[in-house]
Amino acid sequence: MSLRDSIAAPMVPVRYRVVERRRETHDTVTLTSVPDAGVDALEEPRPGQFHMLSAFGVGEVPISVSGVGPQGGIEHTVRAVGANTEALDALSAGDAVGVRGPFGRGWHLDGAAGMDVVVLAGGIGLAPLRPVIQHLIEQREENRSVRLLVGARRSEELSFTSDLAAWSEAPGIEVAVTVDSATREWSGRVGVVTNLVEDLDVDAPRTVAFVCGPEVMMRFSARALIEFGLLPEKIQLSAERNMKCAIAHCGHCQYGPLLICRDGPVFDYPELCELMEVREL
Amino acid sequence: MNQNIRIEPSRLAATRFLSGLPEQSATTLSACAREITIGRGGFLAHESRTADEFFVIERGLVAIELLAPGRGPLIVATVGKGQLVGWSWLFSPRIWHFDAVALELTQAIAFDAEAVRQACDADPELRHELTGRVARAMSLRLEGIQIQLLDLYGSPS
Ligand SMILES: Cc1cc2nc3c(=O)[nH]c(=O)nc-3n(C[C@H](O)[C@H](O)[C@H](O)COP(=O)(O)OP(=O)(O)OC[C@H]3O[C@@H](n4cnc5c(N)ncnc54)[C@H](O)[C@@H]3O)c2cc1C
Repeated sequence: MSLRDSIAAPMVPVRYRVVERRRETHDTVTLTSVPDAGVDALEEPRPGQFHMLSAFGVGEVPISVSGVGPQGGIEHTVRAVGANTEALDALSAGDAVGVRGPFGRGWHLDGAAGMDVVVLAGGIGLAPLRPVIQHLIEQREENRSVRLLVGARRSEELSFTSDLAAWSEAPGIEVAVTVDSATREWSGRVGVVTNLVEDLDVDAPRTVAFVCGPEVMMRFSARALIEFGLLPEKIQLSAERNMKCAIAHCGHCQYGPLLICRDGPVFDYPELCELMEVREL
Repeated sequence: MNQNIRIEPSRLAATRFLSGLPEQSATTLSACAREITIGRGGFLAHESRTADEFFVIERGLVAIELLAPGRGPLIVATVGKGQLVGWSWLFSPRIWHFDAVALELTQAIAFDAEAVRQACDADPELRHELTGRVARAMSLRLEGIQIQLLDLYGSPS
């Protein structure tokens, strides 16, 4: 590869092909993509990392890896909120998709060894946490509690429902789901996801938490976890900001002194807590 | 199925809502309490009826419901183990503002509101303990609703 090519490489999307499209909710799909014929697979992503995905002819956006399948297949779960995500949402099996990455600092899973674990997700925030849960199930440790707390606006807006059912059956993990409001057809919990924290049966000072969801939810969840007794430095959050280059050149994803693409998207809570309270950020 | 089993004071302090309640207050309060068990779909409270009881859940899950015209009952919150159902008994006009329905087999401690009010009149420490705990439960519910109003899962901005 020439010097020019190697400098350009991280900016050039690799052509992948969608092999499966699974509808999660009315506005969210999970796409499984594999490298197109004759194309080398990208480096295997670590839990919490993201790719820049492009719907050709529309644009490129950061999307977290929500799973890794066989034959270099990668899963992304996309919620359609604007031009780019709508174009990705419209892709079908056989369509081409551009992929760059993986980028960013993922979840620090080493810190979870020997500790109880709380995984707390709101809405689409479960996507980047799915590989964490899969990891925790595969690397099961005896005497360790894993608690998955999931919040969604309504039951119809819950993603990964078959995973949630399967995880509930897995040994060592308990799953609690709550929605903001419901009809009688829903027999589970109703209320804000932070309510689930006070019911946790974990050894708080020996617990790590992985939290992902909209920023307001993460702010309140981190506070609830700390009130429950978790140490702030044991709480990891995944932050989101608009992003363009994903390789710390353009500054689009600047968040105070941090660049989300380079320093994150996963941060320890103490790195973010003050920034999250600055109105202008 | 409702039962009329008397409650030991220590059982009150074993619930999250009443944990750490001074012994004297627990003894007074337990004289106003009985155990109830309600099957799935059974009502603990009906909107607009007199709030002459309140409950602390020991086991099970209770839906706080509002009837929305044309939409049927909507669950706005659930209350589970160790939590309080009902504070309307504290304030005039002392009527329930929602339905409370068991979503699964539920065991709760039911308190006779009139007897508790009288006990509070006679025992300022009990009043202080109880109103503080009710205020905390109300503030947690309010905080939850405020967070929900931010449309927690909607937009990141
Ligand atoms: C590191 C990282 C990982 C991400 N992972 C995922 C993921 O796994 N799945 C996913 O669906 N999205 C993810 N996002 C968010 C995603 O990148 C944005 O939704 C996307 O850039 C929006 O682009 P757009 O052109 O479709 O919409 P735009 O035209 O850019 O935005 C349309 C509207 O949607 C709002 N909006 C923007 N982002 C979001 C959002 N995340 N949720 C709700 N409303 C939003 C905007 O404020 C605007 O009002 C991630 C973002 C980052 C930074």
